[in-house]
Amino acid sequence: MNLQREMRAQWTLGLLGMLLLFTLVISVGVGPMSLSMAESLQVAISRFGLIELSVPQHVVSVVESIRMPRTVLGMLVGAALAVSGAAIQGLFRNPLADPGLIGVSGGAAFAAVASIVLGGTVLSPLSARLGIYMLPLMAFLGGFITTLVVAWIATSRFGTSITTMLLAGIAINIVTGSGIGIFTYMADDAMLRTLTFWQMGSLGGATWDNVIAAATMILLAVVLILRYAKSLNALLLGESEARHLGVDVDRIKMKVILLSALAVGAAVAVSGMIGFVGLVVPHIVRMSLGPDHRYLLPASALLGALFLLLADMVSRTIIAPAELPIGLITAIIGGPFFIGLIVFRARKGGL
Amino acid sequence: MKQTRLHSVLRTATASVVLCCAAFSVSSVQAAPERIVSADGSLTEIVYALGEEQRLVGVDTTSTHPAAATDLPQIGYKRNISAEGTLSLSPDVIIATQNSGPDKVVNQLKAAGVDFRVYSEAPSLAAVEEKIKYVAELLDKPAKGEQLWAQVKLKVDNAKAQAATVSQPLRVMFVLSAGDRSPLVAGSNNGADTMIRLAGGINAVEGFEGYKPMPVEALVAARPDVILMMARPGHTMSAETLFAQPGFAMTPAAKEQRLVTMNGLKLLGFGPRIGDAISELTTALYGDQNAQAAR
Repeated sequence: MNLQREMRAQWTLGLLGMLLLFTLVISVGVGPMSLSMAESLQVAISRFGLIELSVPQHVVSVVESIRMPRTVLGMLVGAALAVSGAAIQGLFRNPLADPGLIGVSGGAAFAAVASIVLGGTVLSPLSARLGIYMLPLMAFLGGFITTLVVAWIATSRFGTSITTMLLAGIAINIVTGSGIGIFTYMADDAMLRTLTFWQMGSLGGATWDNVIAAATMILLAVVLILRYAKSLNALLLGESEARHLGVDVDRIKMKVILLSALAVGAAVAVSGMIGFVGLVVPHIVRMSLGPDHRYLLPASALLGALFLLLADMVSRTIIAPAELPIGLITAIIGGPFFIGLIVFRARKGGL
Repeated sequence: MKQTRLHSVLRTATASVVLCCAAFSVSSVQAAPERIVSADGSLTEIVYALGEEQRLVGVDTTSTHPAAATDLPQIGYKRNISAEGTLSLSPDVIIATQNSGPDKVVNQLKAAGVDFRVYSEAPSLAAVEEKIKYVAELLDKPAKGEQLWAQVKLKVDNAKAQAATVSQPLRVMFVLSAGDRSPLVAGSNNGADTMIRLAGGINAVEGFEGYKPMPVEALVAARPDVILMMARPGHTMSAETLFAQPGFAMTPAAKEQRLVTMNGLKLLGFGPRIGDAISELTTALYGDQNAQAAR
């Protein structure tokens, strides 16, 4: 029985990997500019020196410096959000948990909105020095620092309490939310438009520079989180049970939270607020593969990447030449799908 | 004409009555209003351009030109004005545009017996004419209004003549913000689109209305010859930074680093400075030589 389940999980992982590869190819092939799929793929393949290029230079530029970084960024962000979501749900043993709960999204949003609104006045020395890198840098730091504050509130000499952390996360989100409100009130019309769209998320800022920066942090965090799969499994039994099994619970908690903050902070910094991925993707995986983190975490990473790639393809083509913010698409697809899944499982009595 | 004169005589008469008995409440006088609150930046500019700024007792936060206007009492952001704050200035009339509000507050102000005048918000030259003439009429300075509009019209016509000498109009793209994400650009049916066309350019962006984010790939496909942006303190982007970004780097505009920045309120305010704004933009697009040729 158990063996059957592991077989199924491994097959699913393989299948997701293949689907992701397939979607990656399509993603490089579609966009608002009318290039044929063959032309686009030719550019991608020629990179490996397999064939001679026979397409115009502008096609090469569009594919190489616009579509490819955007596609890679989509996969990274999707994987980061979904893995962190899965790990945090496991840690909190709460199906409603998502990366927003540890304050990272709220803090990042607060810092981003602050740099949009104050970039011309109070923070102008900073924006003069950092230019277009100011906002992502601020967002990342804002997210990470806020998570540290949440973790600090929840930690006493008796260890880190998950319940206190839950409350601290909610409280911090209220504080950052009101801060965002104040800056929104101070903003002029142009800033309002910018910050509203920032909060809806977009992969449109992808350049190889920021893809590499984000990739370093996200890959590091994701790989390290994957290593804690067995400890997270033990934690599913309860904290004291996990302790009896020899798991250093407090250390694991802190590490998982900081690594999630690293991954999500980097993702939010380059792509803004993209909701639902961190909540829905791990649930979908858990419903089909079960709660074993050895499969749940990697499958979430793959499905998250796949989901975000698909959402981004919709985002940049559905109302071309304009772009529909990706956060809206993940919510529009994710919400009803999730409701359907819950209803279906509840009828079968297996939630 | 006769009626206007009669009106003006009446006004002088009532004004002297007011002067005589100081106890007489100003708001009950049926004359040109003396206490005006403006809930729109372009209307504030018009009042100043007509030389009647001494009658302004309050403005909204979009009224930032001329700088002196910012020293006046504030009633808040134009779409979110405060009823009691506005009433505390005891205005005879509030001048606003269609998007001033919220409606609830507007209704409260009307219920409180304040004369609430709403003018067109449309981003068009016709709306500017309407605003100038109606505000001048309201202030009982119709002649000054005609004069102001004539000045604006002259500048617009000059710019038009300047643009007409160009054989190949430029494709202009207005970028509201660009940076770490898909840039926000102006599609059709908005202030920037109108200004680009009035200045003799072609809006490079087609296919959607208002200001929307646009994937950089679509931006390349739009082939803009010139990028137009707002100059705002601390937010202004240099041509090098802009054209170093992928997407912008691949546009025809990048070849000669053609970035035009203009004061946002002047460019998109649709107030009395629209004539200057159009000439400035036309000159920025096509150079000054054409202006001489046109004359």
